[in-house]
Order: sequence, then structure tokens, then C-alpha cells
Amino acid sequence: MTEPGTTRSGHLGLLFELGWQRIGGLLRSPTPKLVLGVGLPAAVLCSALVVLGRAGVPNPSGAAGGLTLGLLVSATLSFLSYGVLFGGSDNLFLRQLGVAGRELYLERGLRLCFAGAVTVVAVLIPFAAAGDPLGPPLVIGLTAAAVCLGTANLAYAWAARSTAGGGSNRLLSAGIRQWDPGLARAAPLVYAPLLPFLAGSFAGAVVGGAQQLTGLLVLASVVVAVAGTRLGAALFAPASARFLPTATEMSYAPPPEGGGEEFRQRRGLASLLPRPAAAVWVRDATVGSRRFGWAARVTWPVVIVSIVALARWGESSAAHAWVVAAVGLALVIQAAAVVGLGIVERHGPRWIDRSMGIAWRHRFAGRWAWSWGLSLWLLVPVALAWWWWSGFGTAWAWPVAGAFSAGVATMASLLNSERR
Amino acid sequence: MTEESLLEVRDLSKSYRRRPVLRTLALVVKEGEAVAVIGPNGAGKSTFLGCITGDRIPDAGSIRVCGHDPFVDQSVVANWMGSVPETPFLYGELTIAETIRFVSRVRGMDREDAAGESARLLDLFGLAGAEDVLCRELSQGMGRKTAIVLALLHRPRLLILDEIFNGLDLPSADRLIAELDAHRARGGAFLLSSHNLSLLASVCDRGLLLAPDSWTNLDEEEWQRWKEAPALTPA
Repeated sequence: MTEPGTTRSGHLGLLFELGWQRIGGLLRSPTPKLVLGVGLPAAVLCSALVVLGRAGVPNPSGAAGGLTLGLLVSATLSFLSYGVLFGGSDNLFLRQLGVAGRELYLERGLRLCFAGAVTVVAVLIPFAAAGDPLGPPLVIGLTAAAVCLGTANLAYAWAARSTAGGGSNRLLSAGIRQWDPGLARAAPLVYAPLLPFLAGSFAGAVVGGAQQLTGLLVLASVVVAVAGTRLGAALFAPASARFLPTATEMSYAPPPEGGGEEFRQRRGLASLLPRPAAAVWVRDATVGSRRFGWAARVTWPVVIVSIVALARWGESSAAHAWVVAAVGLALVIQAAAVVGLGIVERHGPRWIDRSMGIAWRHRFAGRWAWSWGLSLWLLVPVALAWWWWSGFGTAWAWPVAGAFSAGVATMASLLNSERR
Repeated sequence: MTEESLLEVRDLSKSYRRRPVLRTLALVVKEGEAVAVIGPNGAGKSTFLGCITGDRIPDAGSIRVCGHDPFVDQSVVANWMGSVPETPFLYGELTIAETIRFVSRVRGMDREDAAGESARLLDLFGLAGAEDVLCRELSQGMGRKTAIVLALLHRPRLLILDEIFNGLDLPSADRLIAELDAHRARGGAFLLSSHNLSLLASVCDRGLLLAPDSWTNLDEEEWQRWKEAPALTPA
């Protein structure tokens, strides 16, 4: 055993090993959350990018095209940065084990590097689908990602250090210190994504507009990435012991003022249902939104990409097939959440329903109403886009299909809740 | 600070969104001491223990573990201290054996020493034979036992154990108490919180009674009086 009081180093290799072990564990026994929450949305996104093809991406030659590609890559990476760098569920556990802040930050920085590589690959998919040369967009994407990565690692480390210091930055928190000191303290973190976003976009424009020396520019961007990450880790190290618990405390979302507002049962469409069914609807919608938030989140990417596809190729049968497949997939994901709620209920809530005397038909009606309502956020915009751009008289079939799918999912959910 | 003090807390204050939970709290724990942290729900027991382990940031005051500030000398303090939080973290994707191996390597333990000590602790808590179970498949009690094994593995001097008896069956609780007694005999100390007041009374020799907005150190006579009629308010 190491003598108490001595510091140790060399955790970086162990952290990498841990990461691989965790990935291996997930692949050996994948959870439904992994398949439904990551695998299927990734499949939807990839197929959408393939369908978009050449029409979905800018011309990579020239500063304007480089700027657009740089914007795409750096916006994605900047958006992901906070979660990748500071959102690990094991941060406090590793802190208690004595893992040094510098090594933790380097490992998180390399995770962000991996996210950048995946983003660049995603940007290349439409080019590959269209048969265009991959060289120019690859160079722009890699340069933008590398510059974005280096500046993100630096900017977030500075923001973490500033936040952990306890005070609030006078310039960044101007105007908000009086009414929300907590937010004022986190102001550096709020503004941290701006620098990598702007730097990555600018790098994309520069390398896109450059006729020569692109190799040198790529090399310079790699230097920025490495230097930014190493400097960021050095900046973060002394702040990590205070910042990691601070970040955990900041992530706590208190219940809304006057909590229980969402439990008002006789408003809107709920007033059309019998009182017990309306109560089940509101209860299921609240529990479902908290435990299966991903079921609602899958809606918007599918809606946006479907509308774009229909607007662009409204008369193409390939586009129709893709929209049907994507929406079908999203409905399957939402149905899984409805069934999941039933599985969760095996351990308790079904007894509450029984003890309150809620009839099976009311449980069915309430859950079906929630399930259908969940799908309508997806189906109504798609139906309107289908009617507008495809000219088919079958747009009404979308909400009807949703009602049917909700019925099947609800039946499966209630049957599951009754299983022992 | 005296040499035998393992924990010194001075003027510790903590608020959540301007609601004070701990006010100018002070506590010194020396070698061989066992301190019960007692209080009703919401009194700040987990917040207090979290401030010591570094899971919570104090608003004011100082904490020293074996003379080191856990918010400055994080790696040093990690060597001296083992903790089990109210809701222990375990890697759901790893088995118990993989988790123990990772923790022992991060803590810099000798391979043979780690293997021997982990085998002893797994056997003690009835986890022998379950080494290949994924942590996400563990019951609440088995998860807590695994977290206890991880906290004891490197033989720390100070143990911070929050709601430690939750989910433990009676034989396991008895074995844990015997292990904690041995820990004290070796010169270690621990802070223990639990809602099982009779167990706390039998294990500990001092108490810290927390209430919203106030706190009381129960030393010697006060502790003896409290043990006669364990309650969540001062005798």
C-alpha cells in the first residue's frame, strides 16, 4: 500500500483502460437505454445525412464553404464540450480516489477529441453519399475540429478555474449579479463555448479560402489542439478539487416554484376524459417526461430532417420511404418508453392504481392519451409537411397511425405492469 | 493542530440557495474515536459529511483531514480517507472484481496486498463468489457492501460512512461493526450517520447532533445521557 500522505501520478493510463472497459461492458451486455437512446438516433441521423447527399452540404472550395463547414463542426463540438469535459457521472468518485485534476482533464479532453472525429465523419457522410471527393471537406473539418478542440479545452479550463474561485467575473456577469448570484458565478461557463465556436469557424474559413499551404494550416491546427489541451489541463489542475463539487451542485435543478402546477388535472384536452382517466394521463405524462425524456427528445431531429427532406424532394419516392422509416423508428422509440413505464410500475404504482379503484379502462384511456399526445408532436408537423409538399391526400393517416401505435404500446405497457 | 487529530472542522457553514443548513459547525476527531452524526431528515448530516469528503463545497470555515485541506491537497487526503456516501457510485458496466481492481490500482496498492485484502473483505461481507456480477445488477444491499469494500480496501485512517446500515442485513451489519472496531483499535477513526439510533449508540462513543440551524456536540456525559434514551433532539 502507498504510504499515506504521498501523492501518486500515472492515472491517465488507468483512466483510458477504465474507459475501454466500460465500453466493452456496454457492448457485452447492451442496455435498452443504449440501443434506443444512442443507437437508433445515430442510425436516423446517418440515414438522413445519406439522403441529404450533395444538396445538404456547401461547396467546400472557397472561404464561404469553409466557413459553413467550420460552423457545422465547431457548433457541434462547442455544444458538446461542457457535457464531455465536466458532465461525467464519476467525477466525484474519481476525485475521492485521488485522481489528479490534470490527468482527469486530459482524459476528458481526449474524449472531446473523439467526439470531434465523429463529428467530422458525420459531416463527410453527405459528400461520400454524393460521390464527391472527400479531401477538401476532410481538411476543413479536421482543421476546424482541432482548433475548436484546443480552444474549448483552454476556455473551459479557464472558466472552471474562474468559477471555482468563488467570486463572479465583473465583466461577464454584468447585469445579473443582483438578481441571481449563482448564475453570475457560472457566467464564465456560460460564455465559454463562444471562443471555440468562433475560432473553429474562422479556422474553417481560412483553410477553405487558402489555395496553398493547407498542409501547414492543418499542422498549425494540430499544434493549437495539443497546446490548448495541455495548457487547459495545467490550468484546471489546481481548480479541480473545488470545481468538480461546484459543478455537481450547479447541475441540481430545484423543483419549480409552486410545485405541482403540472398536476392540474382538468385543463385542456384532459377535461374531455373521465376524471380517473385524466388523472392517469397527467400522472403518466409527468412520470414519463422525467424518466423517459429521450422519448420526447427523439422527436425534433426527426421532424426537422423530415421537413427538410420533404421540402427538398417532396415528390421523390426515396424521400418518402426515408420519412416513413424515420418516423416509424421514432414511434418505436416512443412506444418503448410507454412499455418501459409499465415495466417500472411492476414494483409499485400499479398497487396505487388498484387501491384507488382506478378501473383498467381508465388506466388504458389515460396512458393511451399520453402516448398518442407524445407522438402528435412528431406526427402533426410531418403530416402538414407531407400534405404541403407531397400533395398526397393521405396526410391524415399519420395521426391515425400514431393513435394505433399508441394503442398497441399502451396495451403492452399495461400487460407488462401486471407481470410478476 | 495536535498530532493525533485526524479531522478538524472549524466554523463550517453551508447554505443551499440562501437557505442555511450548517452554521459555524466545529468538530475535532482524534485517533480511535467513533463519532455518530445524528439528526432528523434535512438537518444537514449528508451535507456535513459531503463537505468533509469534498462532495460539497462549504461556504465558509476550514476542514483539515490529517492536517490537509481536502480542497487543496485532494490526492493526499484521498490516501488518508475512505468514504461511503448516502448513494454510492459504482460503474454499472463493470463487475465487482473489475471495479475493485481499478480502485486498488488508482490507489497505488501493491497487487498482492490488494488481492489479499479484497478477498478478505469480499468474504467478510458475503460477496465472495459474486465477483463477476455487473454492478448494475447488484441489489441495494450488495451495492452498498461493494462500496464499503472499496472504502476499506486501502486501510484509510479516517472513514466517513453516510447512512451506512441502509440495505444491510443484520449479520452484515454485525460484521461491519466488528470491522469498524478493529479499525479503531489500529488507531483509525470514523464518522457514522444512520437513522438506526440504537446501532449508533452501541458503536460510537461521541455524537454530533444536528438540527436545522443548530448543532450540539455530545461528549462523555451528554453522550451517556443520550444513549439511555436515543432521540433526534438533545436530552
